[in-house]
Amino acid sequence: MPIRISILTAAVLVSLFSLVSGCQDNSGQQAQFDYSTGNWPRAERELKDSARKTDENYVLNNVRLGSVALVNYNLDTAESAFLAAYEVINSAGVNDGGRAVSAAVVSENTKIWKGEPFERAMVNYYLGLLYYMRHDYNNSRAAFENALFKLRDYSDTNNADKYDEINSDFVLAYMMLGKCYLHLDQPDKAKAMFDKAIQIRPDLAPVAQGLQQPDNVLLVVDWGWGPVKITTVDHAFAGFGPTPQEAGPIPVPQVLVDGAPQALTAPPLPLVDLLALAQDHRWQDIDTIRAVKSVAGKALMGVGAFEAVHGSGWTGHRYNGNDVAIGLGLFAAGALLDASSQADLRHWEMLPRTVFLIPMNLSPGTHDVTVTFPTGEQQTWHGLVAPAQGENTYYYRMLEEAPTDRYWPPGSQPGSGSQKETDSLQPS
Amino acid sequence: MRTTALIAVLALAACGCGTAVSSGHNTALDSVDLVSMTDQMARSLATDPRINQEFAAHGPLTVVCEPVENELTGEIIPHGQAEAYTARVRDLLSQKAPDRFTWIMNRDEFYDLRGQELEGVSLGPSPDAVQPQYALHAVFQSLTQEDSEHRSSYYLCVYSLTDLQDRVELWSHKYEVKKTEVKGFLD
Repeated sequence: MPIRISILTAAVLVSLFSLVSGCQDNSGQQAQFDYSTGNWPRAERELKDSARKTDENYVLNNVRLGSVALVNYNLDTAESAFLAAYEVINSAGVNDGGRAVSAAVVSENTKIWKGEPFERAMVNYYLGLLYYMRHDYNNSRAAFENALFKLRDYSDTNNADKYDEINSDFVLAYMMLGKCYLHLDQPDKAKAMFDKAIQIRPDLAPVAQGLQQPDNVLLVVDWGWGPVKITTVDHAFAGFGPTPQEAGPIPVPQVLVDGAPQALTAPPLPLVDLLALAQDHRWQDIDTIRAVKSVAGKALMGVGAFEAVHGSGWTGHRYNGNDVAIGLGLFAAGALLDASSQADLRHWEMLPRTVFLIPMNLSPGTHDVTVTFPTGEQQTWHGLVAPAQGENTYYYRMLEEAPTDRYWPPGSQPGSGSQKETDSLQPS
Repeated sequence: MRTTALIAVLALAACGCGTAVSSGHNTALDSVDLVSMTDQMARSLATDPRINQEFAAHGPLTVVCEPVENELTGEIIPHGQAEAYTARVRDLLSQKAPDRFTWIMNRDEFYDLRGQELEGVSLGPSPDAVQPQYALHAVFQSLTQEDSEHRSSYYLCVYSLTDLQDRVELWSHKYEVKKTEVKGFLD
């Protein structure tokens, strides 16, 4: 009878465990494949369905959708997706109640994903970029400020030096804040932002100086792939990889305008390395809980196995059915506990490794602008508009397998600027 | 007993999951602020002696509503919300004091609505055809601090009615609020 009860209990536990931890995220892999191969309409359509579900992947699916919509130049969709993520990220208590218990006791995957600090900062950065592209400089400024908050949030609030250390990897936001203040006709504040960026990264002074010059075209170029969340040491410990050293140096792009190399207002230098930023993984209470669960689970499995073997009589002792049942029960409980200690590996797959800001002063009119990297990525936008007054901003996402020729305005050449679906493409 | 407790916890975890938008709370201005703020502004506008004087001297004030100017620290005001903060004041005064104000839609709003081609909705004359005398304008500012444990924001929202010809401010009123959120486990 005890054995039957144990089996029944184990079955109930396993069912409940599966139910609770079964909230798996399946949207990422396909979306990532479609994103990297330029099948953006399909990725957008699929992610729109996922992004409406207010489940534990709500924020993650919305930032994925934002990335896809941005590269596909559906700026309204990108804005609403990033705003949806922004609102949850900025909220406290999102995981209160059953989710917090579930994340701590059963599986961390059940918590509502809000991203690591660098991912939260990038949500705000992309919102800032969207508003900047639309010449809404006040909202753009606000978003870039919030991007800095997200990294400060992560840093040690009792240690002023730590603030600078963390912010130093995100001079991108300071540079864009400076640009916003220039457009808002607040040159003093703009200078303060550029000075701050130079103070943190003196090697980027030529970029800051170039960005302060009057220009009429700004290229924002995303290159490479951002960090991937991986398990380290044990499945209970999460980290990000690869490291910048493993990934190698970031190449520098060349810009061609109407087929000829273009003299740039500022040298095209990488303004952030998300691989480096991700190495400062924040240790949370839940990491400790996972670690304890992993150790306790393995210990229970060991004790359970010993008890079952001991009770079975294999070690020369008298057979005892109760000992076997207790041993098996302990082993099962330990296995469940160990399984529940798996780290949450969800992350924002579309993030680039780095961002370049490339200001240019072009003759008013339309131009074909090519950005090319020595690593093989190349993208040409045909017919980009250089205004006689003001500044237009264009977003380039360098992807090896995506279309290299695109046409302005997006969608003006079907099959090029706005891609058609190719359902035959499947993940490898 | 312990097993029952474990099952109970698992069942709670399985059943007690709120959605991503059901239990969060933040320091942003919300619908309560919108209602409270715009009620205050409409009341103040309707009873202001200088506006009454202007109405007595020259008849209804011709006013255009402008969206809120966002000077908040680290906080976005999407376009629709930026318009709602002044549009509700207009709506309240259109009901409570229809004789004192003639409201003219701003250009962006007019062309947005015209673009939607709403059936049965009359948008009235084009903003280019009517010259407003005053602008209802609002600027939102904030001081915000955020760290790993808290986020707090103090808001100052200033509304003004300005003569478009000489930029003289006929009326002004402010709304202040401070909000603090304490972050918890998993925030």
